Amino acid sequence: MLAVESLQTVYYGGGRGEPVPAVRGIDLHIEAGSATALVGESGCGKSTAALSIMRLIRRPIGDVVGGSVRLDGEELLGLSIAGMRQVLLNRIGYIPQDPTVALDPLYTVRSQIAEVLPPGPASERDAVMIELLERLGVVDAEARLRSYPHEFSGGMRQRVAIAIALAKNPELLIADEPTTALDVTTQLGILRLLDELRRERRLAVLFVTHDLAVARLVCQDVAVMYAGLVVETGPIAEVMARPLHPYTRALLDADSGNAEPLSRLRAIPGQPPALTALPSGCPFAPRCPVAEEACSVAIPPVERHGAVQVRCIKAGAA
Amino acid sequence: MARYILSRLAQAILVLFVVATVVFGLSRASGNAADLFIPQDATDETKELVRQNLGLDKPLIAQYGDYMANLAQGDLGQSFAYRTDVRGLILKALPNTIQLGVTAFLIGSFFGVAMGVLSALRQGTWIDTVGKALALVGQSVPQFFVGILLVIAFAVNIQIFPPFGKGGIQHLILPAVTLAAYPLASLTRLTRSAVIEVLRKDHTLFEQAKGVSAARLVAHTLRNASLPIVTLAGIQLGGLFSGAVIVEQIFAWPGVGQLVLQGINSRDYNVVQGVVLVNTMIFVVVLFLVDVSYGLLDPRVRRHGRGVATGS
Amino acid sequence: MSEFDEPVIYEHDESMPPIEPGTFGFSMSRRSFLYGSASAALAAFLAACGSSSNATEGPTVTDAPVTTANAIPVGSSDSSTTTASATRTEAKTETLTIGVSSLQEAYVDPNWAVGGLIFPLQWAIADFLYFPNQEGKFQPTLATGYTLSDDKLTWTFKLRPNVTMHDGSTFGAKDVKATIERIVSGPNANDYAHYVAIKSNVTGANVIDDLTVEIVTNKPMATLVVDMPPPIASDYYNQVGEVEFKKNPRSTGPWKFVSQELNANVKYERHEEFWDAARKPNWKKLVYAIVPDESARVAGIQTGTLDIAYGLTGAGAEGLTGNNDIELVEIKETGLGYCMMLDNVFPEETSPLKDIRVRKALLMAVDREAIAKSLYKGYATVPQSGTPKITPGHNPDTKSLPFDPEGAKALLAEAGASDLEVQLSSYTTTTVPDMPKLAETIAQYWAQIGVKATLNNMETATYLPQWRNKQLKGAAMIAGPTYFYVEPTRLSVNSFFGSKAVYTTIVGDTELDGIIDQIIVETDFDKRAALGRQQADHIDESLYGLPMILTSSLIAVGPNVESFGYITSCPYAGPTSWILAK
Ligand SMILES: Nc1ncnc2c1ncn2[C@@H]1O[C@H](COP(=O)(O)OP(=O)(O)OP(=O)(O)O)[C@@H](O)[C@H]1O
Ligand SMILES: [Mg+2]
Repeated sequence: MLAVESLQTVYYGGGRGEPVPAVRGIDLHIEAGSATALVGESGCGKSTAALSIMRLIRRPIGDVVGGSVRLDGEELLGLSIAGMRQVLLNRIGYIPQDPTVALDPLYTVRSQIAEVLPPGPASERDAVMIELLERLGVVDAEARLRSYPHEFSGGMRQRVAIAIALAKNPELLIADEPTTALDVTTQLGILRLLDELRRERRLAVLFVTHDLAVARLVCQDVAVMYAGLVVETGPIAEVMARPLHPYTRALLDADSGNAEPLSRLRAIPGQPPALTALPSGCPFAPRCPVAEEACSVAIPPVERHGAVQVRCIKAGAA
Repeated sequence: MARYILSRLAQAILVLFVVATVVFGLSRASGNAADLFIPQDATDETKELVRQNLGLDKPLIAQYGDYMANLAQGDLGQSFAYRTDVRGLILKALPNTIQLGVTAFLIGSFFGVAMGVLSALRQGTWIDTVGKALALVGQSVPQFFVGILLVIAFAVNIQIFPPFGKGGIQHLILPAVTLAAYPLASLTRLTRSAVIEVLRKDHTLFEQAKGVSAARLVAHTLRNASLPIVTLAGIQLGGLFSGAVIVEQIFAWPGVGQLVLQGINSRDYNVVQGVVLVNTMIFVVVLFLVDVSYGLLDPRVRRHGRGVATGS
Repeated sequence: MSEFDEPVIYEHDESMPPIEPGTFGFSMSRRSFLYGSASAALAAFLAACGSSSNATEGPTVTDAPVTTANAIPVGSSDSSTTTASATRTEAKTETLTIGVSSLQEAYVDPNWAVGGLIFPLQWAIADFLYFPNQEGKFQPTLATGYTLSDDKLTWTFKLRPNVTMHDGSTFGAKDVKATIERIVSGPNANDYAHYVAIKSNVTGANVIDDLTVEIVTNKPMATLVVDMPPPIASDYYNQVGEVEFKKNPRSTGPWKFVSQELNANVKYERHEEFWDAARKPNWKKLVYAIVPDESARVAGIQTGTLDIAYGLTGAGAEGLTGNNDIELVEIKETGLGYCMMLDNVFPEETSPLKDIRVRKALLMAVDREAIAKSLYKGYATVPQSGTPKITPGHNPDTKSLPFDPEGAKALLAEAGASDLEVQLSSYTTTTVPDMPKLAETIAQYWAQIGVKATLNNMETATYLPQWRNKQLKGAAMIAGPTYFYVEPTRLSVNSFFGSKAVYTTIVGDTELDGIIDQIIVETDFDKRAALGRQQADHIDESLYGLPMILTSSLIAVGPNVESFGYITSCPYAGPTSWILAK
C-alpha cells in the first residue's frame, strides 16, 4: 500500500538558509488494513517524515531531497503539484498533531469538511457529514455543522479534524499524535475509533506517537526513529518483547518506569544530537550504554533479525 | 451582529461629538472670532453689530449650544474668505476629493495586496526582493517628489497625460497614482507579513493536507490575513481624503485638500474646522465600516469584540 | 491679531490680497511658501536633467512692448475715446488658457472679489468708468468725462453712449446708480465691506439722464474716480436678484461669464458687442485655470495645457530652459523692497537711526546692483526713489545714493555712530521674493562699515501686527506691491509714510503730514500729481525708508500668443486688453 524508501528531507533552517537534514533516508511499508506506529523522542523527525510523504515540506521552508514514496505503486515524489493535490484530496487522510489550531477559525465546520467532499447536492453532502460526525461521537451534529471552531472544545475539534480526514474515504490515514492534546478518556475513545475504522475500511495507517504503550493499542508494526533515521522496525509485539536496538530498549524502560506515558526519556542520559551537528556514525552512540569505537565510524547498515530490521552493529547486546 | 453594529455606531457618534467639541474649543481659544470678520477700521457700532450677527455676544455655553445645534443640522458656518457657507464649499469640493481618493485607494489596495501576496508566496525570490524594495521606496519618497517626477515623465517628456486639472479619466491617473504610492507601499509590506504569518499557521498546513484547490487555499489565507489588511486599508482610505492636500496642490485638483490649504493660508477658520469635521466624519464612517467588516470576516469578533481577532 | 491688521501688505500671488484697509488679507504661510519654492526648484532641476539633449538656448526674455495709447489725462472732461479704434485681426486660436495660482472666490461677480483676486476677475467681466492704460494712467472708458461741484461733494459723470451690456441692454446711468446702491445702501451692502473707501464717503447716486449720473459724497473724496466700482447690468440684476446674479453675473467687460468650477477654473466667451475695438480680444474663449503649484504651471506651459502662466520665480523659469516656443516675459518693478528705519516711530526715544547721516550711510553701504544680479539673478533693478514710477508725482530726476562704503564709514564717524548696533527684522512674502535672504545680505554689507546688525526673521502673521502696533524697533524689511500705488495716498496714508499711515515709519514729521493732508482733499488730478511730487521728494530726502530693490514678476507665454502686453508694474493676470492670440 504505502512504500517509503530512503526518504530524505531537509529544512532550510541553518544560517543563511543552509539545508539541515531532518529525515535522513527512512524506509516504511504499510499494508492496507494495517497500522504502523512511528515512535521516537521529540524532534527526531516523525512529523517531518509524515509531512514529507504528503509532499507538504516545500521551499522555502524545506524540501524532500531524495528517496521514493509510492502509494499503491504510484510514485508520489514525481507528481506535479496539481497531481499531488488530487492524491491528497482523494486518497490520503491526515489528522494533525494539535486540533486546537488546525481548523481555520474563520470558516464554519460545515464548509471545512465540505471542502474535501466530492461535489453533489448540499443535502446529500450534509447527510454524509452528519453521519460521520455522529459516528465520531459529536452529539447534535446537524446543529453543530453551522458552528465555528472556536465554539468547540479541543476534543470536539479533533473529532472534526478526524472527520475531515475520513470524509474523503482515504486509502492511507496519517495521524500525527492525534490524541496528545486530549484528556485520557477522550484519548481512549478516539484510539478505539481509529482502530475500528482501520479494520472496517481496510485503511493503511501511519500512526505517529511518542508513546509505545499507545502505539501497541492500535498498531501492528512499529518503526522507531532517532535523529532522522529509523533505527528499528518490525511487528510491534516482537519489538516490544525483544527490543534489539539500545535506543528502543531505553524507550521501553523509560516508558514502563514512568507513570506518565508521554513524558520525555529522562532515563537516557544526554540529549539527542543537534541536526546541525550530527555525528558521522550511529547518532545514538554518544548516549548509548553499549557503544564502542566502531559505532562512531559509520551509520550502521540495516540488519535483519527475522521480521525485525535494526540499524545497530551490536543489535541485541546488553 | 446587530448588537455589535449598534455598539460601533454609538462609539462613532461619540467620537464625532468629542471632535466637534474640541474643534469648537480650539477655535474659541484661538482668539476673538469677531476680529476675523470685522474690517480693522470699522466703527465700534459695526463691530458690535457683527458680533451680534455672529452670536458672539452670547455667553460661551450658549455659543456652544448654537454651534452644536447648527452642526446637527449640517450647518458648518460661513467662510470668511469666500464669504459663503462652508457646507456649500465642501459639498462642491468633496466629490472631487472622493473621486481622487477612491481611485487612489482602489489602485493602492489592489496592487498593494496583490504585490504583498505575491511577495509572500514567492518569499525569498527576486519578485519578493523587488516588491520589498518598491515598498520601501514608496513609503519613504515624499509625495510632491513622486508627483513632480510623474508629471515630468508622463506629461512633459512623454505627453500621454495632462499635467494637472480635472476632466476625463486621463486627468485622474497621475494624481491618483501619486496619492496611491504611499498606501500601496504600506499595504504591500503589511500584506506580505500578514500572509507569511498565516502561511506559517497550522491550519494552512492542514488545508494543504486536505488537498483543496489553490484558489481555495488563497481564499483561506487572504481571509485570515485580512484583519490587519482591512484595518490598515481603512486607515489609509480615511487618510486619503485628508492627505490629498499636496497632491491636489500639485495637480490643481479642486478638492477639499486645496480648500483646506487655502483656508489655512487665509486663516479661514470655519473652512478649516468644517473640513476637519467632515474628514473626521469620513474617518469615523470608514472605521465603522472596518469594524463591521471585522464582524463579517471573523466570527469570533461578532461575539467577543475586536480583541480576540487580533489575539490569535 | 486678525488679518485685517495687514491691509496694505498684500501679495502678488493672486491668492493674496487686500488693497484697501478692511479687505481680507491672506498671507501664505512660511511653510507653504518654502514648500512651493522647494518644489519649483526641484521641478526646474528635474526638467533641466530631462532636457539636456535639447537646444541649450533658453526662452527669450522680453519686456513686452508698452504701446502707448493716446493718454488723455484724468480730469479733462468730454474726451470721447481712449484709443484710435483699429480693428484687430481674428486669431486662429479659439481659446487661451491662463494659469494663475489662485482665484479663491465663491463668485466671479465684479463687485464681489477682494484683494489681489479682484483684478483678473473684474478685468475680464467688467469695464470701468476710468481705466489705466499700459502706463498705468487712468483714461476715460465707460465715462467720457466728469465735472465736480464747487463744494467738491457732487461728481457728475458723462457716460459713453451705445455700450451694449452682456444681457443685451444698453449701458447707462441706471447701471452706475444700481451698482453704487448695491455696495453702499442695498440690502446686501454688508457683503461689500471691501469697498471701504466708497462706503465711507459716497452717500448715493442720482440719474440725471440716461447718460449722466451724479455721485454724491459726504466729504471731498479725491480718489473717487480710481475707486469707482465697475458697473453691473442693472436690468438683469433687478430681474434675477442678488443671489442668482452672483452666480451668473452680467456686466460690460470684454468677456462674458460662462462657467466657474470652484478652485479649478473660470470660463468666459468673448462679448461680441464689446464697445472698444482697441481692447476687444481677437480670440473667442478665455479660461482662467487655477493651478496653485508653480511647478505644475511650468509643466502646463511646457505641455501646451496653459498658454500663459503667471507668477513664476527665477527658479521655476529655469525649468523652461531649452524651449524656444516659450517666451518669458519679465514685468519690471512689481515689488519694491524697503528697509525701514522704525526707530522714527518712537519720537520720545533717542536713537542713532534718527540721524539722517546714519540713514544715508546704511543705504550707501549696500551694493544694490550686486544684489539685483546675484540674489535675484538679474530679475530686479535698483530703485532710484522710494516712490515707484507708477505713482503720480514720481520724480524721474531723483538719483539714489551710490554704493560707497568709504563714504558711508565717514558719514557714520561724523555722526558718532561708528560702532552702531541695530536690529534688522524681516519676514517672508511673495511680493518681494527672498526677503529674509535680502535682509541677511544687507546685514553683511553693513558689517563691512562696522555696523553690527542682529537679524530677526519672523512669521508674517506675527510680523505685520507687531509693526502696526509699534512693537518693532530698529530697521525692518517691508515689501510694497507697486501696482497698488497708482494713487499717491496709497503709498502714504494706506501704507508707510506719515503719522497716520497704517504701517507708519515716521511719527511727527509735520512737513510730510502737511503735504499728505493736502493730497487727501485735493480733487484736481494735476494738483494731486504736484503734491505727489512733494511727497515723493520728501520721502527721498528724509530717507525714512531705504529703497533697496525693485523686483520683477515673471510670466511664461506659450506659442498661441501673438503678442503679450500688460500694464506697467502690474503682476496680476490681466487685463487681456493688450494680449493678442495667434
Ligand atoms: N520549519 C522548520 N524549519 C527548520 N527546522 C525544523 C522545522 N520544523 C521542524 N524542524 C526541525 O526538524 C526536526 C524534526 O522535527 P519534527 O517536527 O519532525 O519532530 P517530531 O519528531 O515530530 O517532534 P515532536 O514529537 O515534538 O512533534 C527538529 O529538530 C525540528 O527542530
Ligand atoms: Mg511532531
